[in-house]
Amino acid sequence: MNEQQLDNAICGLTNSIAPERDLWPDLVSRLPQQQKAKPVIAYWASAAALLLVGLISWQLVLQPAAVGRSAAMPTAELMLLQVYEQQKAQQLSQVVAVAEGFENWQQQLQIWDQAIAQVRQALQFYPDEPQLLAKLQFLYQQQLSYIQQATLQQPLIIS
Amino acid sequence: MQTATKTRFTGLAGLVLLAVSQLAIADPREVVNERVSVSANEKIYIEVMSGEVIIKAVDTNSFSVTGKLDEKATGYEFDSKDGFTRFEMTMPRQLNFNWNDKHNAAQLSFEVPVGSSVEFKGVNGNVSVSGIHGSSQIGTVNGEITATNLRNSVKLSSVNGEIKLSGASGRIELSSVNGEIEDTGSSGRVSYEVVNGEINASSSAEEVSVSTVNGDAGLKLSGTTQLKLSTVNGEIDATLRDSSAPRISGSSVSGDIELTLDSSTSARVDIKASAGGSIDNKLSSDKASKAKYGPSRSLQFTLGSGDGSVELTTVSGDIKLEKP
Repeated sequence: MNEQQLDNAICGLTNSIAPERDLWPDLVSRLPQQQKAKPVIAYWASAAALLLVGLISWQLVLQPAAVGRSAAMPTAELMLLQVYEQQKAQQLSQVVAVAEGFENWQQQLQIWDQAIAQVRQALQFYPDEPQLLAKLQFLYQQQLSYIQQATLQQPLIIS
Repeated sequence: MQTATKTRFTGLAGLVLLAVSQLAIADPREVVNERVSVSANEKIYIEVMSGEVIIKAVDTNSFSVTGKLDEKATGYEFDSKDGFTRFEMTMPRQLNFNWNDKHNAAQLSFEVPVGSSVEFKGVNGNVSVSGIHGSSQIGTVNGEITATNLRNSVKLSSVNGEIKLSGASGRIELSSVNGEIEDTGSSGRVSYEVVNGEINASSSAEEVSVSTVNGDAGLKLSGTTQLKLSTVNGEIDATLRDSSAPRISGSSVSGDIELTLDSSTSARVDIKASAGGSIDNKLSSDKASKAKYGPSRSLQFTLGSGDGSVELTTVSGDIKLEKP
């Protein structure tokens, strides 16, 4: 059979072959029984799980401040206080003399302390407000720079 | 007759000798007279702890110092080589030195090249500087600084002394702890910093920065495009003219800020008083509103097309916006 004869034979075939008998009733009888309805408790469990996921998301996304104020994570204000008060105490402990013209330096430091207290008071109304935190940081930086200017300090010796 | 003339002559001679000896006792200060050729951009360091000092820029490439040292001075050190010149009046090392004793203090005049960089350090002396166009860094503790026509880089600092500056241009930094700062006609970029001192400035600088702790500041500015104001407890009163869209930021704790702007100013205005402060606006009809929660007040509005910005915050101070 050459190629031409093969093509002619293919063209002579029918498009579909019908089964000799109806196979469907036999197939239906062999199928497994229909599944029963889901128990009610499964719906409740799904709903509870969804609710739990929703609550956790709300806590994390919509109320980040509440999470931040937990005992494990101190507020930005407390973190600033800790850092700068420590630096201030260290600088003051190293003071060996007062620079010429700065005789009232300790009174001056109190002015910053009062201003810091005022900003902290405002932070009680608006915790973690960026502008107030920036003010707090600026006041501490000014105070530390003044201590450096007004005093002669012993260099820290690390043994 | 001859005896009488002799006696008179002896008396007169005695008087002259006495006068000369009195003069010598009256001014026991060592005389200084040094002159040396230096480069046009010489780096010059001068240290005179007390007395009156004048530093003047001249058009010649030479350094000179003339005058008298403090009577307590042990002498002076002077050297000049490789573009560096240094003059120091040496004082005895003694504790509890009384700087307020101005009797027979130093009186020295320096001449430096116009393009030189001059650094001066003093404690109790007054210094007058003029015409330096290289850079000038002048510092005193109790003395007064008077500076005219300084250019490029200008740094003047004092602890208790007054600073008077006129006609300066370039990058200017003026700072005093307790002294007053007075600036007339500066241009370029200026920063004023005081703790308790006062600031009085009339400037056409493009950028101006003001910082006080307890001190007050009065500013008359023209053409300033960037203005930064900061005070803890002091009062700042700033008038800004001929600046169509300035960028202004200001902050206080319990201090007051009063800002006067041209009615043609174009800017977005944002003002906030966090805890007990007040806001008074006369630039527009907008009024500050009180927050729903807490004691804060705020005000936002736009002047013109809002090209510039005015951002002022206070904790418990008063903020006023005024028309000229």
